[in-house]
Amino acid sequence: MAHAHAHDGHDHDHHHGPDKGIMRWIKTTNHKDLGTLYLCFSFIMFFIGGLMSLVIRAELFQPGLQFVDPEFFNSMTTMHALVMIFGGVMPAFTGLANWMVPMMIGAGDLALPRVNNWGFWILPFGFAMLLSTLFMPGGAPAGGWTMYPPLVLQTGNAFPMLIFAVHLLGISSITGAINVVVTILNMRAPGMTLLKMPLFVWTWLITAYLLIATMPVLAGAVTMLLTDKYFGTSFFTASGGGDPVLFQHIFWFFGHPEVYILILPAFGIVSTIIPTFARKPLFGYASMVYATASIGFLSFIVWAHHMFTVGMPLAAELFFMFSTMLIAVPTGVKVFNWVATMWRGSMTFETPMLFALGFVFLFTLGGFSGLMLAITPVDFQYHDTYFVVAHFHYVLVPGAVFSIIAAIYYWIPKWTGRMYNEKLGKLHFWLSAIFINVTFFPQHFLGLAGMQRRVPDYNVMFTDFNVVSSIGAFAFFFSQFIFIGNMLVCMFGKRDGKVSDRVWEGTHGLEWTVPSPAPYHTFEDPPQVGENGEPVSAGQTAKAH
Amino acid sequence: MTQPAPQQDREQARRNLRLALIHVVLALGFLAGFVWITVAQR
Repeated sequence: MAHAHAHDGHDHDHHHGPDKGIMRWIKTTNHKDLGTLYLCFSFIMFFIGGLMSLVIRAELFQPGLQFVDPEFFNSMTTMHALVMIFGGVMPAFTGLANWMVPMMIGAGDLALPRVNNWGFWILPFGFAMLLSTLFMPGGAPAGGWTMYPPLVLQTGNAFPMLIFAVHLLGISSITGAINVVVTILNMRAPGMTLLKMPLFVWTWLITAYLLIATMPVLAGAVTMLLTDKYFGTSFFTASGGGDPVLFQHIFWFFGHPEVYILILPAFGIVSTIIPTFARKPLFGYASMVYATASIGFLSFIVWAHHMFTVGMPLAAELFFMFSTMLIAVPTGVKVFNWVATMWRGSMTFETPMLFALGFVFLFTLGGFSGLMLAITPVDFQYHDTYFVVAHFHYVLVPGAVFSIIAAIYYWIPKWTGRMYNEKLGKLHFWLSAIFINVTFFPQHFLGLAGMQRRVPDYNVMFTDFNVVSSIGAFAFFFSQFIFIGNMLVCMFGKRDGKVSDRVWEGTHGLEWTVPSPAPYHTFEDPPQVGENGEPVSAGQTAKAH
Repeated sequence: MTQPAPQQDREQARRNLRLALIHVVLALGFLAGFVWITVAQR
């Protein structure tokens, strides 16, 4: 990308374009380059995690043991979760924040560009460490991504690798979060008040605070596991007077806000896409912001709903049941606002909109099964069954992952200056939407009938639904190659010059005032934002159109 | 770095650093608070 901005008499010799070759990517401090790196990294991780899920679904295609040892099967479930959460979804959202947050608020870059480079490059090392355990004697961690003691303390040589990998991923997340917070609070263009910020920026601001508050807690918890195993402490070891259930409380104090870290940016994306293709402003903007903040607050006081069956006092079970149900209120506000935005809008159904609509339907379905799980007495039946697996995959795959896909379809013309193939995009959506339901819907029935999670074998009565689920999983996985092909053509295909600055006719906001593809540096001089949140004077790199 | 981000002026850079450090202290505070609660539970 050549630098396309105008040099209006200033000395801009230090603002040259990117380096050539590999050093560009290693040394870059540019938010767009780092956004691209984060997204590419997350795609590699989605692919690796996806292959692990296929090992799981291949083994579960029939009852009995077919392909892998039970120990390796447990490694697959553990690693699939860690890779998808920390390597797939979180870096994908950080990549989107890198690309879009500065452009949406009229900033030249993130506030701390070198920290940004550092935060990204920690990730490949962290995951090299984690994935290398697959080739170690004793195998990869197999105690579940939740790392519950005492089971996880039986992990072999992989154990310290797991702990240090989690430390690295935590450091990366915290640096990214601090960068986003400082950028949003300090670097907004003149006139861009907090309540004029795009929803994606708002949801990321709240997500960043969740990260800053919970990642240190996870780091502390896993460090205590490390000292329990190697340094003779007994924080969580019953034989030394410790309490294994204490770990569960601490883990889920991190783990439940983590769930919202994975979904709040998705809310922001959907709140950006739906108004564009409904050609109406977002219904209830302020209520969206307050709902997001409410969800962020509530996420800290619901953690023990993950552990209703450990034997808590009745008062605690009641408190966590009701506080969990309370989350349905702000979430309901959001779903209502999305639907009200579409009400009597001039809707069209381009691929990003299709994925956003898929999100609204299927995430809500996952929300409903979450409400079922929140009911304490009923949870005693569902706990640790495939019903839970179905629930969180509904909120994470057609939830978080669909929103990431939608965001990429929506913004890639701005990033690359080339429109994706709409027919292939629609095909990708329909195959994904159908097969994700084929994969996960039957798992509700399996769970209600009593099939446990994290088992390589099962009673023959569960066979039919498992066959259906496995077929769906393979079909979903291979459908994603349509997406990858479509994106590769956008990235490396010839520019056809058909993409305008605004790209979609229903868009509003600063990112659409810069050329497509976005120049290497944007908004070196910030634009002035008017009363309605629209720019009244363009920044240095923004072309009038 | 060979390809600097658009230059922040000194004052802006100082404000950014100060806010970032406040959040680092916040994160360390959460860590310290968590360790204190856990050890107190023991």
